[in-house]
Amino acid sequence: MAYYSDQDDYNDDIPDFQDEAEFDDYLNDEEYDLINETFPNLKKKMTEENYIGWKNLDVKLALFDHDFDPEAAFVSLRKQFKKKKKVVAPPPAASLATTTTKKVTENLGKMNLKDGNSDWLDEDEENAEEDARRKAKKESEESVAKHYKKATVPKKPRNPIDIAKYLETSKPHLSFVVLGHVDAGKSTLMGRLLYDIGAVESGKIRKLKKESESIGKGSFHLAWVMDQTAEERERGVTVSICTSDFETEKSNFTIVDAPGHRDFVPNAIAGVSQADVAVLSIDCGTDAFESGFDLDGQTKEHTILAKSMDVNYIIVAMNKMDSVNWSQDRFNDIKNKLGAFFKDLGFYEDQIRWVPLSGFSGAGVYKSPYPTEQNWYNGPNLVSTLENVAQNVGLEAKKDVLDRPFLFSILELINSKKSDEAVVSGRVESGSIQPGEALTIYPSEQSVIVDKILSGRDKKQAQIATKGDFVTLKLRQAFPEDIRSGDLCASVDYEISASQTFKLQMLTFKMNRPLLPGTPIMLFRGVVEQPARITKLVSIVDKKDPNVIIKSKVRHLASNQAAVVEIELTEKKRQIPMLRFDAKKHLGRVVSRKDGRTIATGKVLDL
Amino acid sequence: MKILKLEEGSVNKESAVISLLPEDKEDLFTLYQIIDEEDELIFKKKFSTRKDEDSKKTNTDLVLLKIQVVSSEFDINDEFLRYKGKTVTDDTGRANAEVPVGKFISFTVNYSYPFTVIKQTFDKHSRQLLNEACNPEGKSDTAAVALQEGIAHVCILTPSSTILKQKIEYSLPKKKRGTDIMKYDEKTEKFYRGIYNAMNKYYDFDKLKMVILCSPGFYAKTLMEKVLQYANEDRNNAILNNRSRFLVAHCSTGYMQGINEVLKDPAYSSRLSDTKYSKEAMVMDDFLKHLDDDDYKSWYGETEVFKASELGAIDSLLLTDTMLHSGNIKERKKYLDLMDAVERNGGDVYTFSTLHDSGEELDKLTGIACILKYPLPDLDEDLEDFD
Repeated sequence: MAYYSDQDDYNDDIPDFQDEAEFDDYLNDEEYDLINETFPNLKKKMTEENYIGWKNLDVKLALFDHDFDPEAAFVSLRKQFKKKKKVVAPPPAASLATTTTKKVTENLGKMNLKDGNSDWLDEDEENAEEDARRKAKKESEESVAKHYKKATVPKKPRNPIDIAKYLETSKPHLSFVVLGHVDAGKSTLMGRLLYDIGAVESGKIRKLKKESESIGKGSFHLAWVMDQTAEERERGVTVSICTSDFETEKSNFTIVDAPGHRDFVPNAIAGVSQADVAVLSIDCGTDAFESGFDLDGQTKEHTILAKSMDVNYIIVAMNKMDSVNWSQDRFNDIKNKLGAFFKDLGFYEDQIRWVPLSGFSGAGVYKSPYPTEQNWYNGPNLVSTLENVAQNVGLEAKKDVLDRPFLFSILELINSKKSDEAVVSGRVESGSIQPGEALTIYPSEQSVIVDKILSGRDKKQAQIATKGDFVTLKLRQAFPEDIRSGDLCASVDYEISASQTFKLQMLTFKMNRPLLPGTPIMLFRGVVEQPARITKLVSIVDKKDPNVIIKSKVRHLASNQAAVVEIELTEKKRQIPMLRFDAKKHLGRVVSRKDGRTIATGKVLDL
Repeated sequence: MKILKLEEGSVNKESAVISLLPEDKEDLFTLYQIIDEEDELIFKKKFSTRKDEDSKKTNTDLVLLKIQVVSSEFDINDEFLRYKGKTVTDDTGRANAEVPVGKFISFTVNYSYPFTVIKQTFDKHSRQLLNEACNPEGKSDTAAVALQEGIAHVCILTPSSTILKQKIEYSLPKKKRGTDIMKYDEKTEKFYRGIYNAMNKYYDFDKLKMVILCSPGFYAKTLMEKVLQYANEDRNNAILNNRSRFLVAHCSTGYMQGINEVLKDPAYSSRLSDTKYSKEAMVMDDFLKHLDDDDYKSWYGETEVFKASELGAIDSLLLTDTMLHSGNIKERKKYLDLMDAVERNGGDVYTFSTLHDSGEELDKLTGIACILKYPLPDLDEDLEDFD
């Protein structure tokens, strides 16, 4: 595609054209020739297939939008315009290899009695009308999705680059989630980090300081870097997760700031699912650690979540040390209590790092030195610790790129003005992707082409994204109305199932009501959340070795037990795309909650 | 429900002939529970007949028909109840005058024409259901909205069912540094406005007993403020005059499970205690609590419950309406006798509607359970080797 250049396309705002001639003038010579080559054919096709309401300009614009690919343009035109009459659509001219059709389930069972029985008397019309109305309603509720093209043959990248070489030279990328009890200073710590590192301008901080002082919350100005909504600022709590990118000389980072309040644990789960490591913020102030830890605080719940969602490093930010005058006794006291808890959960000592710091003053975070009171800790500060961990995680991640299927979880769908373009942001779970390649989105099973990859804080165009990267993908030939956050993308030669019922191996935590067949729960996989119900308790298994069945007739499931259960999603036509745990750990992991408590974690055994 | 005539024992000792007119969806559900297969219905229906074989002319008349029920179809969301049956001979000679015997005909129950039910066995349970249906007190509905960030469920709770009227979903933009916060606020505003509109569409505020708004965090409180604000702007007196009927409650999720959480929360029980479903949710929770305590006072499963009943040990019997609506008359009789026995021994009987969340939970749990007056650790002893 010699005529195609990224620079040309970078400016997406083509002016509005009044008529064909104006558009023709806008094109340069090369483009003009190209359009005249393809335009007549496409026009003929549109006429032949009885589309109405279109003008020559629309066809030309479509061509222009699709890099003069007549088939892609036709796909988008088909969506824009209606046909004259209801004629049976010819098989779609697919630009991708094969088409598969989703089966639409029909509720025929009810009709059997009527059809099978010749003794039926002629009914009046009223009845038939009623039937038709109900049937139509049922169908509109039940028919799952339109059929999309699903490709199976991979597409070559536009400008292929050598992945192995790229991996050698690239900086490691680390994403970390900030956890901890409410008011442990998570958002302030992150605001401080971004400010000291230079990712937030000092002018912005001054402005926030002024604003926060004006409503009497002077100490919150750093937290407001992350907490932006009016509600969060007024109430002084973080509600939803906030991601932010920054880089140091050695590594690239993505911060996920998670809420601490127990009501927003679902958001914290979403945050943990995106992170490689967790920074656990502890308020070392007098009694503050205890209230977050001993009682039903979130310090424990967050740590359990992190552990059960395969976060393998925890960096404990011993925050607010300035409030206890940098007391080493206090530091050790908390370290002992927490350390015992981590050990109970199954963390090894080399998976835990401890850093004394103060998010508010900045001591121990990046370059700000410790005050003279702190003369007992010589270890690395928070950012250096993160850099060290990033090296380790980065090495691990690189093993998961070459010859691995591309998997990507969508965290957000961003609005796009173009009809067939979808802009999604998310995290690469394994493998790599380059512009020009094709991928399939589940559960809607639509195959799309990656047009551009944008990464980093300033949304630069990238030539490749590999495992662990947080990127925004611009996708072409997509149907954004059927994409939602939590969907998974995979390379076209990889199959992902989405299911209404599945089998889990579950590990229950402390619960105050047992689990029974029929118990309703909330199920979380990454950022997706769906109500579900336990349909069957299959067996109770050994916690250490899940292959050992302890009991196969299970009447109820109590706290701290391991079991195999069957689950059904409550809402029809909502499916959670996921993989079996043995296929991809991170995407086969679910967490369940009930009545506001995290009650169990599960591995998907079977779909 | 209006009962026009109730004659007992005219056909045989246990039977009853009831003429009635249902008035709302609750009545339909009552009828669905009362009328069993093999019961007979007499009703009027528009019917087309062809005068002679060849002519195209048809006559549409309102004729009296009598059928024996073969099957039924019920959907509370659509307020739809239809019976299918076979025509039978009518001794009085008034019905089925122009229709041969043994033909299949369907009858959709409506609110405008009364009809007659001939029940072969009119038991205590049916009588109780009928009495409840005729008592307009305690029949009023409760509205409930469960919400969380970007998702809301607008529901109506009737004594027998939880109906989801509308699900509202807005994908709010994820926070990022530098996100245009104005856009976010705009979307949030739209979200609350969407809930307000749905409430206006589906709720009749003058007839509702209560409106529950529940959510994690502060969403319910914000919704309350927004609803009042919008109502003030629109001069919506239906809402403004019924302000006292709103209850802002806390729950852990914006899905429908959140509503059930509120129903069983002791903190709100004083305002909800006179509702049947709140009682059900609490009994269910009590059952689970005993199970968790492992004090051998909670049991489920048919064999265990019947055994406990023989010992006169049942304090509360929990069973679903489907158990009493089973096609098998013998089965049904068995459960009715069980209910009698429990009541004789001073226990309480709770029949759960499977159209409620707690009833659905019980239904999956064999449909029958009990809480005992005293612990019985060996109730399942000779059933199966139980680990």
